[in-house]
Amino acid sequence: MHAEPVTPAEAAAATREQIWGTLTAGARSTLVDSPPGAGKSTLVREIGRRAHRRAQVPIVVQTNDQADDMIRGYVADQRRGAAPVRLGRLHAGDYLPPADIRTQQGLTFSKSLTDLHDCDVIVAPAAKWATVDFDHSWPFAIVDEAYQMRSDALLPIGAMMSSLLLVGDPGQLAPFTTADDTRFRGRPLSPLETAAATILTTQPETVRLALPVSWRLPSQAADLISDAFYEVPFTAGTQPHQRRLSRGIASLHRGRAADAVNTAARRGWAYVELDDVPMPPTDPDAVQAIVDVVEELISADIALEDEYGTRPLLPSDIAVGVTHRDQRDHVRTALQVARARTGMPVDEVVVDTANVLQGREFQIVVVWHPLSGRRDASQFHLDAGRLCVLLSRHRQACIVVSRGGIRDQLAGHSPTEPVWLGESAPTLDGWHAHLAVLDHLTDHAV
Amino acid sequence: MNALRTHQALQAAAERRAVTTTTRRHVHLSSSPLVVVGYHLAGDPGAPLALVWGTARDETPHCMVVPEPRNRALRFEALDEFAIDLLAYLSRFEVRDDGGTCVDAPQLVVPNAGTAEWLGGIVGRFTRNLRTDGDAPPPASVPLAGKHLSFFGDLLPGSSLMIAATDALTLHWQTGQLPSEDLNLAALLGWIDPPDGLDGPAAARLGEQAPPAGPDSDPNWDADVLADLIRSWHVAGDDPAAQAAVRGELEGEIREQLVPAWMDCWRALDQLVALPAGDHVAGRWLSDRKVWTAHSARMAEGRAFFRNIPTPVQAAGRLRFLESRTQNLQREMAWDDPLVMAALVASGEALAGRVVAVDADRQTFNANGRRQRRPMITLEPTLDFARPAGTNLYLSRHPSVKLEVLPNDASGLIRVEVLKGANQTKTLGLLPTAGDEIVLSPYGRPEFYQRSTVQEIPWTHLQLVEDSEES
Amino acid sequence: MTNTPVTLEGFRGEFPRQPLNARRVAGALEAPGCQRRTALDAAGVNLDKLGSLISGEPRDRQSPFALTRGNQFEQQVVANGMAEIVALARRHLDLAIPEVRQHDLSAAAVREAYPGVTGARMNELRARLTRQRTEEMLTDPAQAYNLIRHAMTRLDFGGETVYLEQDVLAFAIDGRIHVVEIKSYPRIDGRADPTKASATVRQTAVYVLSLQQLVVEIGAPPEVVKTTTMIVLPENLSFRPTAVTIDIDMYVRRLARQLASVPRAADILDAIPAGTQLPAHPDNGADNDEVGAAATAAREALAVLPPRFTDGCVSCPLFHSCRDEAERHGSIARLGTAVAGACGDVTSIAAALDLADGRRAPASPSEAAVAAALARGAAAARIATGGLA
Ligand code: SF4
Repeated sequence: MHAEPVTPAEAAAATREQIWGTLTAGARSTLVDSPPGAGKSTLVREIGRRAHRRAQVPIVVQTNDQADDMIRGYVADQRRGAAPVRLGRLHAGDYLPPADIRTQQGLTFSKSLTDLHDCDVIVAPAAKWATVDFDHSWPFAIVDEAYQMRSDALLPIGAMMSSLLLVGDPGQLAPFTTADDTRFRGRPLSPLETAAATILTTQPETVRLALPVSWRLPSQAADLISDAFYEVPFTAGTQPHQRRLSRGIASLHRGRAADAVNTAARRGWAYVELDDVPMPPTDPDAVQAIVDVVEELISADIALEDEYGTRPLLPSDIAVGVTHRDQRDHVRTALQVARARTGMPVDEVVVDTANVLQGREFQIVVVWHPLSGRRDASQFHLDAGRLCVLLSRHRQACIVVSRGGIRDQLAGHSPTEPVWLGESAPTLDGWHAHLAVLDHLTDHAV
Repeated sequence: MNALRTHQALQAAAERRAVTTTTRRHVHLSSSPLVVVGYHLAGDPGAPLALVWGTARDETPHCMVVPEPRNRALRFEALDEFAIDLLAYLSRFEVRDDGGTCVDAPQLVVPNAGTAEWLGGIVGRFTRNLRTDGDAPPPASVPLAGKHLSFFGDLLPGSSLMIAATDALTLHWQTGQLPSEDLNLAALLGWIDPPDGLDGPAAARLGEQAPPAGPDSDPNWDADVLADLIRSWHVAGDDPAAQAAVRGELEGEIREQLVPAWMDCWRALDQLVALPAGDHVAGRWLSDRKVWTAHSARMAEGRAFFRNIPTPVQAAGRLRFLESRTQNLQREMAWDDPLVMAALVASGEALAGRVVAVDADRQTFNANGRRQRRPMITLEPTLDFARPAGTNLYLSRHPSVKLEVLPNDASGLIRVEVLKGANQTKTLGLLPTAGDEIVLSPYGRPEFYQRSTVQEIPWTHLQLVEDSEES
Repeated sequence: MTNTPVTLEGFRGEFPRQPLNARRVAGALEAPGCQRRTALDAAGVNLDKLGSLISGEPRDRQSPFALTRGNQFEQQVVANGMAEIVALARRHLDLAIPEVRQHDLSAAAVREAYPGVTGARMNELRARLTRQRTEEMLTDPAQAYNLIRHAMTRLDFGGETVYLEQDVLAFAIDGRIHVVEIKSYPRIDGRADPTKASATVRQTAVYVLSLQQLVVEIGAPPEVVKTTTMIVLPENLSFRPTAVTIDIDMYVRRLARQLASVPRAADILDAIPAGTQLPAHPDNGADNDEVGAAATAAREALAVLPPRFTDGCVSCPLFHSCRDEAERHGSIARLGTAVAGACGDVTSIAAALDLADGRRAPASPSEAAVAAALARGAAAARIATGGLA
């Protein structure tokens, strides 16, 4: 018997070894569930580094940004002394390599596999892998974000790769289609289910493991997110005292925005509840409240303290997470206007929808609650994945802005969504998760 | 719900009449459609009770009844009548042009999506593979018609080969009732085209009183009329005269139930035909003709096979088609129809405005420091436009012209620069001129990605089929 | 306001009663927050009869063909000592079932054993027997009955205890209770109608929850009632049964929370005028005047109970009359949940249009936002149609 690992780092390392052990034992498919910030990318890179000694390793990601981030991660690893790996970045014809990695040594960009044959690792989005000649084959490949990947995108991967490590975060937004999906529902191996679900169905002997520690979420967040959204519980990798936000300058705004920032600095959460008034999705008061909070964050001269040291908070450390694209546009416009007015670089903050933010990490996230100002909670707005993504991007603090009345909204909602017998039933109920989160947020109201 | 649709719904309720949500028609209408309505036995979609069909509104429609819907032989005997007519109708669309495409295609019109699904997904699904060589075989026409119905049951968005009247009408009108009430064709028509002396809600109530348009019959009628007739059929035994009498009576009752819905389908077509067709309708009909041509070729060669459960490879291909057709339909409707585009203007995704200035010669420097031509258009927006700098838009008149919103100043004017599509000598002509009223929309020309196709089902999608009781 | 609060019994008066079943509880939650419906459900009023009376349209009929087919299927599935069910349960629920010892607790069966028991006492008796049998199933699994049909359990609804007629089969194996639901809509090529399946799952959740409450009363943990349930459906167009299992845990937990937020019937009745009472239902032979008078009386009694009209109302037996009422009031709710949601605080159609056209000044930030959005919608349409719209 092994001794029980005692620290989070030991627990995580033990899991990584267990994963490597599974792969070397010849498992055809291995699925690793990773809660937010549990070192999923690190794991992918490490396995890539260890496995290439036997054969070139394709890494399948879901977007170009994810591919570039994967490359950046390898570059950073090497800077920290990891063994060098010859990297290939396979891309589409209209792709421009980002300036920071364009001229990196040991990295080849190409739209054709033939230029990359002597690379150890090749990174490309699934959509690009779907365009290569399927006569290619590899003994082993890694799929990143297997819960964001649609099952149909896994077809070409399965055609070329004979064994797979799939990693992903099960708490993300499920893949979707803009088309009417009724034709595909309730059927085994629907093209709309996740790649992870497909593998679990077709390969019952798949080894399924979970990373146990979130290095991103502060301890105040890890418990809530783990309870409300994850089947396999996880813990925070840091102690409460290891993360700290301290402000250098007194408040710009009086009242709400300042209280929100102060509460968030103290507790890691803040809930800004505006009057209980039904409003259209682009509620101007909510936009203003978010802009106020962002201005306050940037003007307060905040120092971030964590296990790596202390440094000032930058605008790019902050994200605003929203539900709809028009909300994103209204917030961005308002931040551009605020910058023109005050000169503060508030428009350098990242503003995006949950779909785009999934997989990303920030120090502080300001969340526009998906149900804010609505009268009727819809299935779309109740999606547990959306809420989970929005509430699990931050390392330090999360500030949620919402209209009041959400509890009534949830009570008045009648969840009568269609049920497709034969599909694996959802284990997570968005309606329930929303109630659990709301109970928690109420404790941090400002 | 977008603001324009909401306003239209309120307006419809206040005016007590449906409001048009389009200025153009977005479906193709055939000059000789086949209009079909029908019932199956309650709770038993596999037991057709009656069909009423015809290609001319001023002729008495054909009517088929199954006096005992649970009897297989009677079912086939009746379906044969319909199948023969269907095959004859479809055979009128075999003439090819020089390119080998059928010059015209058939069009089936049914009252609602439920009927469309029933005909394609149940009647077609369970007749297409019937063998005609075993014991008590069905007439040869039945499986052939089943294959055709399966084809009509599996069309993509934007196709007009099969029209469900309620779907087509709600695409063009907004009523002042619940969305689920719009599924009743007679009620919906009441809102759109109330008879003289009645307003929309009153006409809709009247429509609700009418017999249902199928494929489910009225339970009260089932209990009060149908049950007795089926009983009489059993009583009639083998007596042909008594059988004929029951059939006659049943047909009379069925016509009373179903002919109003059949007529309503024609009324729906009348409403639609009054709208001028959108520019892209012809293009979509051309692809319908091609799809029909391919199907009829497969039928002729005996290669029209349908899978009950698609393989993962087929489903993936199907989904890809469906997604691109859905997107295209949405875009084409907006390009063709200012009122559809208006919904996007209202929601702020599109920008409507008057061109104040066009600087066709403007140049900027790209990332590599090279000069590039980036014409700039300055607009005075008709409605506030609050999207941030960096938003991509396209000229709605020339969707190949891609634009980006520039940072705005305090003037209230919006400036956009041309990224592509109108920045070369030969494309500069696509730029608008000062004084033009234009719309910039979020819809560009669809992009095509080349991709390889997976031929065989890979290991990731191969499921060991457990022996099941379904085998 | 009133000195003598109206009781549920008093409110129902002589109007026919109809005990709740899972379908009705699930139906009530499709239109949540409606006080009118809650009061009627808690009082066990026969809603179909009430709906037909006030709208003048029969709503309480089901096609005899659908009924026959459903019964035929169920008969076949439970025939031969449940042979088919047992085979399906062995395979889909992975249960080792040595033999079936079934017990029927339907009103008819219980009446035979206990002649003379009627009405409310019958419900109590069946509920007591259900409890006894269940207790035996759990404590003496080797000897006791292991399959109960037509059980009767209790459920708290709007603060009232209502009796629930169980249509499901409850199997007990190794001290665990498994619920099996038989439905007659087909499963075609592996797929069943998702709307019907949704209703089935929500109904089954009602049974499972009330069974869980029963075992807790007995002193067992709720988990002995498994949430993985088996739904038996005809395969394709045949009468051959096919089964799917589904874990409805999520729906059971959801239901528990929903039931907790049903308005309290007693509070609703407290707020209505003393003496409010439904009329007796007119006899079959009643003339038009009598029926008309009863309908008016029923409408008046209902009028004091606040409705909450939403998309979910279409399946409520009172739909027609509540729809007329919403229409008479020019209420935006009449247009459905999506439109109502887009209009925020504004609840009248005329007010919304007045706001849009600037005929009325917004009185609140919410009204201002609605006015701006609607005005924008109207302006966009005007521009698009060249001022014609
Ligand atoms: S129809 Fe009437 S009684 Fe029924 S739920 Fe709706 S508002 Fe309530």
